[in-house]
Amino acid sequence: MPAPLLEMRQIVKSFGSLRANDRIDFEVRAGETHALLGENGAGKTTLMNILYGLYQPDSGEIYWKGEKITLHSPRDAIRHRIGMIHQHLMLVPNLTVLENVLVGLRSPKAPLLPVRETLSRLEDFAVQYGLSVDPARKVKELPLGLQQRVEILKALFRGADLLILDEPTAVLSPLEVEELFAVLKNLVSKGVSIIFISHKLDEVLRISDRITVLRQGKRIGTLEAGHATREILTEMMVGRSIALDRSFPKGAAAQPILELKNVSLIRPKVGRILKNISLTLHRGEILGVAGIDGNGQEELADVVCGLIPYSEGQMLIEGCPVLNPTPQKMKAAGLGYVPADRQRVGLVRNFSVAHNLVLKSLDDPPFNAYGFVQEKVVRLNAQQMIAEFDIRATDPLQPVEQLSGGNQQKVILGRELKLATRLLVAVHPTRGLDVGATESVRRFLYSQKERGVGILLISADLDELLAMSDRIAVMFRGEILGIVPGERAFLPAISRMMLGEHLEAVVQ
Amino acid sequence: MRTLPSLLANTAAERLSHSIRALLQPLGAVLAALVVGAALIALTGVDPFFAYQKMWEGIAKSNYQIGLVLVKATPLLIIGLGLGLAFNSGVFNIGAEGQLYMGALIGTAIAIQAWGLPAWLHILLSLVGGFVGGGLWGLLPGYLKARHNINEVITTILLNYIAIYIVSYFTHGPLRDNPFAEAALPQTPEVQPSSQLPLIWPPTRLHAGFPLGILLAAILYIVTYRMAFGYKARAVGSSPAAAHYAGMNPTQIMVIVMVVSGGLAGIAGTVEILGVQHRLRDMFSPGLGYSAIAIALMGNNHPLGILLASVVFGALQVGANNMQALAGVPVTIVDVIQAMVIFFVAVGAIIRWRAPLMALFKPKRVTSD
Repeated sequence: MPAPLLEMRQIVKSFGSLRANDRIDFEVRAGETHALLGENGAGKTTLMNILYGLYQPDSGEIYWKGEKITLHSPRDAIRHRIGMIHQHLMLVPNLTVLENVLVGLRSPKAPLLPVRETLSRLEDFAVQYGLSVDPARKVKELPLGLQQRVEILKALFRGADLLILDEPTAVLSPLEVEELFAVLKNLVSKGVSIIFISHKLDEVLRISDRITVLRQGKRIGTLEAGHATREILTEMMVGRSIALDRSFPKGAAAQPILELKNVSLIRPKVGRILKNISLTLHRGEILGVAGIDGNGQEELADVVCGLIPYSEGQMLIEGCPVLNPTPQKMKAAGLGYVPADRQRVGLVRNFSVAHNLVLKSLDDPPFNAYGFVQEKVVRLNAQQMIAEFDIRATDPLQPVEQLSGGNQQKVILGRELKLATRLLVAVHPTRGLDVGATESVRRFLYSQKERGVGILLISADLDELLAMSDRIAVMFRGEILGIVPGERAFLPAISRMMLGEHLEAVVQ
Repeated sequence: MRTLPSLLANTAAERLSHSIRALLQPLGAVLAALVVGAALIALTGVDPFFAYQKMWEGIAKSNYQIGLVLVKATPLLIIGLGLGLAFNSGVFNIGAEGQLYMGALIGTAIAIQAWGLPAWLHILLSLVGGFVGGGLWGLLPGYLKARHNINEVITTILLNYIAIYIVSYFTHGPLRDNPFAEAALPQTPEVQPSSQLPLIWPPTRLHAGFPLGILLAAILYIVTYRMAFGYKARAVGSSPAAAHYAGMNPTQIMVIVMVVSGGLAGIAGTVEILGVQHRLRDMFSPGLGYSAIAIALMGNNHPLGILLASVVFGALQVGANNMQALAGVPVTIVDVIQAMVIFFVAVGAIIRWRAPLMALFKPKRVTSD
């Protein structure tokens, strides 16, 4: 057997008292797609940042094409033809595709830019790898899938025998994921090796040749994809087996809790963000809202929760019209809101877990008496919630920013579930969470539904919507194009509506 | 089974080391500034050790000097408390100087009236007047920011000039002492004895303003860290989006914070007149409102830190006078040292952010072969 393309041996990296990578061995063969799988915080990104020269390992060795190398910076990695596509794309939105590719390239005819050469090479790449993008378009005008393609082009331009993709599908629509996979397969057939970081089992099983699983900074094992199953991988990732694909029983519709009638949101200069939204959410119902990110779903949530005043239409709660909804008013009406951006919006990051749990109740007894925060009550409440929602915090007064993403989400959920006596709006509630946390978030949502709370579940994850929702509304450019039952049979219809076809057209 | 959270938790020791570090950094800034100051002193041809020795003697050689340090610290402390609250709430109030002047104007206008009031009432009324004057001068930019989103840094700076000239007008005109005397100075008459702050540690000049400052520091601590309002204000300051989402009213909180912050500066101005100067003079403040910005930054916006920082700055000033008198080093060197302290505090903040900043920029600096 030939020597592997890349071999990382006994890599150790600590941050303070946390061992992010604990003696990890990892190898990639030439021409393979190797998935790196693990829950959030398992050490995947740390290991890859070491490989890309962003971090220096405390100990351990890296062998590249049979030779030992040290990587002091991404520059070194690029010199060795290692490329990385970060989870958050690093493009200049105001520049064109061509200009973004040119940025940082060393020009052979400096100070002039090698514009013509680059253009022709871009064309070559388009043919060779199936990576076509209009080089004259500005990056900010491109959908995320194409922006990612630009990142891949950039990496290929700098020369890449190994491409690291950090959670590349997190921001993509299902169709874009397919396109990305096609591109990756193409790259592999041209001899590029790929490291694919993910925590989505299905994708990993589909795309990779081999799979390495990390857990809590340690390598658990490496499998041929052909020998792996979802069950095996899950157990390796979380160290215990969880019932996956647990289909929740779906409840029947009862009396309406929330009604929107022709609600529109108009922004000066931007136009209509929401167009004549009409929907009804019933007691004990989960109404899913599907759509590719940025089609007005988050604004819909903000409008329902009173954060943004709507421009036209009417909103009713249990038949009563809500005039000028504000966050306070909606809280009083029994609404809980799990926002999309949990760090910036859902939490005050430098406050403790305990105080974040009462963030919306600072003025309410028993947490407030004569304007003073009742620290003892706040702490007792936190201890109770930490137990109830299985929040992994060592102390109620631990700053919330020190918790993992999943536990931060549990803090928000705990707070909002207590407030949601009638209605809960949840936006991407499991985005970026690992399998275990996802499962418990869904369970909490479901128990709320059983208590008769109506849930508006906005998500880009169709599997999640199909597993949880009684009905699914599909949004496209601020409009609801149709509402269908939340059953897998409607998946093709939902996918087509997500791309802009109306329900009537889809049904025919 | 999960060890990650327990690994990440703050142990008691870590929390302690955190507060020690919070204290060490400003001290480091002062030391670094003194080192740079030493170099400057050496350039003027004086032995810096000799100069600093004289400075230290000026601070600590007698109770009188210590009293003086605390007298100098008092207005900085009171203004710094208000600024700390504002900075904690995400409002960058640069207008303490103007708020100080307006507070001193109203406070003095009350203090010079011969109403025959008992001392405690006259003092209280004057201080309330100071709070109202400074508070109104804070309300204006606060309202403009909250309602029309006009940047408070610009409005407060501009309002400083207006306030100083308004006081100039009153000290030259309506409130001028003895306007018909020859060579009358642009200053008000002396405040009534009933409104002068009592000296609390004779024979030093230490007056009741300093314990008042400590009382205010305690109140500010309770408001900021124990009351719902303080939690909300800090939430608005650190995560405005989260505050809005949680149903707080950021605009209302900003306005209240500006009024309190301005009001405290106004009290500081009044205290300076009632306790030290006894007359409101044209251009009476040597930039107290600006120095207090450094105090708040150095004290990490925490009342206790601000108390310590104001005493350090007071000591630098008192020591500088002695250094000038006995070592021949110009007092302006101390202004440089103070500026260097601000500089090094800012540098410290940048160093703390260096790692995340570098991580941001690193992947972008790439070249191909």
